[in-house]
Amino acid sequence: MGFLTLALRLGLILSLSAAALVAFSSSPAYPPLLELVRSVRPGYSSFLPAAIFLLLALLGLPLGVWGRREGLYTLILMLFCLPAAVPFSSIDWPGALGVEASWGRGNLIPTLAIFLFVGAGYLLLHYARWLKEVASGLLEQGVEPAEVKEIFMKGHLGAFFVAAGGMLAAGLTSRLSLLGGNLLQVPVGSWPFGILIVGSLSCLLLFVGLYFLIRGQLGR
Amino acid sequence: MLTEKALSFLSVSGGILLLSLLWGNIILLSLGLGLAFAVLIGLLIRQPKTVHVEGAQLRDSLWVGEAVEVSHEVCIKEGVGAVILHQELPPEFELVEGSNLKACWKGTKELSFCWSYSVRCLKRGRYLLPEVEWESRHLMGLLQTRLGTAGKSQEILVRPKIWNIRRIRRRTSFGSSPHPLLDIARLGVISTDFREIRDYQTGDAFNFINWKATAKQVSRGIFWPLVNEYEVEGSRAVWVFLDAGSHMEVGTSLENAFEYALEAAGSIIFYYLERGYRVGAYVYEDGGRLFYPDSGRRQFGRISRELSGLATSAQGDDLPQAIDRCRRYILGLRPLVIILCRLDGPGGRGVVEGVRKLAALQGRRRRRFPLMVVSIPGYEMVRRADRYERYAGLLARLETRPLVRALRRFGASVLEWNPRGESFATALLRQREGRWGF
Repeated sequence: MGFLTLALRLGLILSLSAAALVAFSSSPAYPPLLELVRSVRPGYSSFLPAAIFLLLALLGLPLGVWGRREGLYTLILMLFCLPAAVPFSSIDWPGALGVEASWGRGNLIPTLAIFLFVGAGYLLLHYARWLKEVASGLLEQGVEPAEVKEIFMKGHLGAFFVAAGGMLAAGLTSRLSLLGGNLLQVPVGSWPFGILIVGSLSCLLLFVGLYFLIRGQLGR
Repeated sequence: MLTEKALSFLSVSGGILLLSLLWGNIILLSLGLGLAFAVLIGLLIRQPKTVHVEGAQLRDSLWVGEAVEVSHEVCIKEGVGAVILHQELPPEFELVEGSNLKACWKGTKELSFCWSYSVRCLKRGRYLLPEVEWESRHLMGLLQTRLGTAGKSQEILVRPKIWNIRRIRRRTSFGSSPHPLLDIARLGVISTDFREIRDYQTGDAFNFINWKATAKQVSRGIFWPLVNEYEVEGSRAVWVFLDAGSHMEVGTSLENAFEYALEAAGSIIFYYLERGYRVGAYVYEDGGRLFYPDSGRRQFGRISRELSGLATSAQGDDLPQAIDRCRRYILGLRPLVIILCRLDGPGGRGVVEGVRKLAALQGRRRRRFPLMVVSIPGYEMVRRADRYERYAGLLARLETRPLVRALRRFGASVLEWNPRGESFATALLRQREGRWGF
């Protein structure tokens, strides 16, 4: 049981670190950093991606694998990923403050897929830890190890389905974006963002409200 | 009710949504919405709300040390998640096989299974096996654990252990023998005193068949006649005095002189009732609990039930007072008197006084009835760590020698039974002869 959880979490940490590296390397923040390394240590610039990956993976081991701080680890990943998402913003805050910034924009769909993968990874890391805590709690209570193993395995099965589904969806969308070229790439600038954001939030609020309403009715 | 985890997930997704609103960023918006929807979908997958448990009916009464299987049919219809079932056992019960704690995973399909385990009760008494407690946990820990109970509680009566006594040794003596096994005439004339109803056996007279009771039994599907059994004239009697003072509880709660005295009392009563005796009993130092002399299995059931729930008491009457209260039965029945007590405790002198009183009641030598004192040394129940404690136990035993001599002088047979060394049945076989018989 312990090995399975460890393998799952380790695999996730490495995958998430790699995804964050891809997002960071395609972001406008990467070229200045590369230039900085080149100017300081010219020979080391080719090791920069590997160094970032190692840094993220080494941070992930104590926080996400052995520790209980997967939220903090996800926050660090998001900090690395965020520069890739900033160019897709419709509100130019630096421009509004009088700073001229010309950021190159990457592909929308792969970046979106990476962000969704990081979000799913956060949930999966939490789920794996929670399941492990449940299993160890049951063992402490005196439940038969075979029964705990059954709960652990069947509980993980659901997580594996979610992970597989998430990966498949993320991979499919990024692949489609490569194959279909501009088919899925909607010109972002032409999107009615105000309507989209307000509409989505309204839908969400409506959904949440309806959920609790139905739940309250069923609970009676 | 949402857990802290669910609230933190919703806060994170809300924070990302707020950030996306500030920047007008589609990626952050998608991420925030994705997280929020994942949590909401997780919340929609509910944990099991109800658990149906149907327990198999247990026997009403058990013997101490007897194992019994507790089984339940469990059915969980709705929900997804881990379910933990637990039936709390009284501290006097020990698990023999299986576990009273069961965990299972409820998937999308209905789950039904049989959950069983075996327990053994180590102490007599009335116990309640409570309802099965269950808790169901959410698939992702987003909702609070749901708790509940299912099934029915069951009461169990655990009776003191009965030793299989093969024989109580004594010498045949003229007239004074209360033992049918040693009497010349074993069967007396059947009187009109009703004793009990029992199954018909080959050789029973047809006019003793109880047709009304037989008809009732046939209506329940048992096709076997029942006969009335009557007391035999001149049947002998046994009277048991049991010390229920708190000084008897030397040892642990499971193993002490009082528990062994109860076992011995139950064994003696069973032995004599099985052989057609009328048995009465009196529990002293407990406010005085009297069992009128009677015979048959019903009498055993009655006494055994009372003994199962008996507790010691710090204040009460002593043996001489008990004998005063039972005086008319003793004089009327002239029974074999058996006293179960501790001589190495504070009640030792009272026992000698009581036996002296009994001896005074006996009168002339030819009218003497046998007396038997079963002493359970309390210090044998205490764990002795070093030689000083062993010597202390020995000294306590030596202190009882004058009492034993006094008891024998009054015609009582004294049996010192160390339950840790031998069974009660074995101890009865090696008892010493008293001055007048026993």
